[in-house]
Amino acid sequence: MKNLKLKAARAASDMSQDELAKAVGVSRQTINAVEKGDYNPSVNLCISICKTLNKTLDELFWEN
Amino acid sequence: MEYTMTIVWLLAIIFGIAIALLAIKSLNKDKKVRTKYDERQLKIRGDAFKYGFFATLITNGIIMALAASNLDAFLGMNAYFIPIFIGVVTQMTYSVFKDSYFGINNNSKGYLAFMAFIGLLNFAIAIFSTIEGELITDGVLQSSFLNYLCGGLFLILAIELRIKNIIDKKA
Repeated sequence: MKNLKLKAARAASDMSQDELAKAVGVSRQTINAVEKGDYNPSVNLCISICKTLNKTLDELFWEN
Repeated sequence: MEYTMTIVWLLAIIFGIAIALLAIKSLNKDKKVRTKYDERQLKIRGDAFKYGFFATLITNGIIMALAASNLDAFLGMNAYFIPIFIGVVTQMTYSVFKDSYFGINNNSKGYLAFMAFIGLLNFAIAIFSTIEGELITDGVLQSSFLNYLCGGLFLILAIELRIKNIIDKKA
């Protein structure tokens, strides 16, 4: 399932996929895969992304 | 000296490894020898190595099944390297198409240039050997065939990366 909340949060922070990837220490393709729903990130990666985008885990990774 | 060729091969392997390590260190963005992969890439590379392993086993099995035929005799010592080549190509192909061939700290353009140089060098050596009539001797494929395999490996990599690039642009 696509993670549109992540995509929206990234856009709201005015960050490209590449910039977010560099900030959390992964490849751009991994961020792309997470947003497309092709890859389930580990909890550590989820936390890194949340800290970078200043969001909580629920806000970005919990299903409504 | 009866161990001369063994020593030459060992020195060649050591020299090759040393050149590769120096190239990796200079080509990586952080100037470290170790390539860094993220968690997704590590998982995919694990799968890629698994498929490469089974491809090597299967190819080895096929060559062993041909052991009694003329084809096996024709291959000579290359019979040991063809399964490795197939395994490496399998691992490489899976990694390339899953965006896990290059690591986070790799300078991909630098790597491609270096690989292109190595590939062309191998093809040049192989073609020179063929022209000199050293590719097949007494009906047996000689070790200079390995240069065709090495050159072919890098050619396959270049083609796969180009295809992946086209696919990514269309997506």
